[in-house]
Amino acid sequence: MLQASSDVTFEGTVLFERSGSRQFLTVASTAEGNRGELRRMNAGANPRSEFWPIPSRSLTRICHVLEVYVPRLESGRIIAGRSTQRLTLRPRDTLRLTHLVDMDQSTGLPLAMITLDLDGQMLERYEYAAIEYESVIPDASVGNVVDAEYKRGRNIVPGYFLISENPDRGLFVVSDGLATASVFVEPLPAGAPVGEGAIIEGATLTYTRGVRSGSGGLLISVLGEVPFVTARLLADAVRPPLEDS
Amino acid sequence: MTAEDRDREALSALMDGEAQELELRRVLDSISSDPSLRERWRRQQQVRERLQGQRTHAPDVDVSIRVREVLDTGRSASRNPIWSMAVAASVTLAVVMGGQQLLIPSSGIAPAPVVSELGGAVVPVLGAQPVQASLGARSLPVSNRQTAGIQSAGQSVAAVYERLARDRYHRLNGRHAASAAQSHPAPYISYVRVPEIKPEAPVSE
Repeated sequence: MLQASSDVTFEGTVLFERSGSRQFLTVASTAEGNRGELRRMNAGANPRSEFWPIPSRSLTRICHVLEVYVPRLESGRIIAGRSTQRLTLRPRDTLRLTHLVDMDQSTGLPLAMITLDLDGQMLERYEYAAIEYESVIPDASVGNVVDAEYKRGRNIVPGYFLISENPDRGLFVVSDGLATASVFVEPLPAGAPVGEGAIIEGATLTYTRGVRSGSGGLLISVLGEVPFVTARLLADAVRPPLEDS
Repeated sequence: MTAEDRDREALSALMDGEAQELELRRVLDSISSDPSLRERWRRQQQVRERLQGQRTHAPDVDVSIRVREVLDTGRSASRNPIWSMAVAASVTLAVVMGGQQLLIPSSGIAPAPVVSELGGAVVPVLGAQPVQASLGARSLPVSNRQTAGIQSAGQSVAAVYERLARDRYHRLNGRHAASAAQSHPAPYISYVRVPEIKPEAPVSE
């Protein structure tokens, strides 16, 4: 499921809903290159194509996901004319969200997905209305799965590992293999008091914290599909360059 | 000042997230041997939450045991007093929030002012022990298109940070989407979350 986008080429129509809004999309992946195409069909007339990267396949990442989520597989409903299996990924702790994934029984492609908060409330969902497969990439067997681009760094908060960082620009990205959070550090805007605040759009939480420092002040922003407590712990984890961990 | 007074003062510091690790250990020792102090902690916790308009934790949840476990199993803290404060705050925060499904932060736990200059690094948060989720529990939602009010410095500060959070969401979500797409089962969903963005390269090392 996590790598099905890498294993098959397809074209379909998707409904995406969150925060009371909905978008209809056409989505396609191609056998050539490493990107797919996306068009937002109700954003305007003759919508332009946008492109999305097709991630590399990684067996390691799947193992990491199972370290922090409890999987449950059961028979699913019919979606876009195809049989599915329902994979429930329930978090082992309170630092991540719950995901309900309806996978194509034949290809494993996630045809629908619902993200729930810790309270069981739906934050966002998508579902295919129609899908056509073009081919299956031949070397998609587990034995051929490579971990070309999935490398995790040190553990920042339980289950979340550093996957990318640029300390000079104050950018850090952590992931638990499924959920991702980006941490941005910048000077505190002039006149801004010390404090914190958060908003949530669909499953994406944006948490900001202003702190005083010797050089004036800093603003830490955490964006991610994570609960509030996780964003707060990630902000706690930010340290100055010369401080030992 | 009597030992009882000192214990009460230390307890207040702990509730305010200002206790150093040694102080935290000492008050935990006192709590373990003094039922009245233990009860006082529970009452203070409940009163504080009511004053802050939060849901009250279950009164039979003994946080002190988990805090001690976390302290005993975690690494020893640095001598840096700021770092120690961050440890204590994180321990309390993680244990309380982990056990109670609390999404709205407690204003009794001050943000840890631990960053002194731009750049830096992220380091593991000591004591942030995961605990078993209780998914059936009710939590205060950070509801869609609403702000999770942080009332520690009043309404105006909350309003400032609501605006900052909304602004950063619009400014930074494109970069986040590029990174999030690497992990999402349907990578394009990360981009669809952002209105009409041009995909950027993920943050490079």
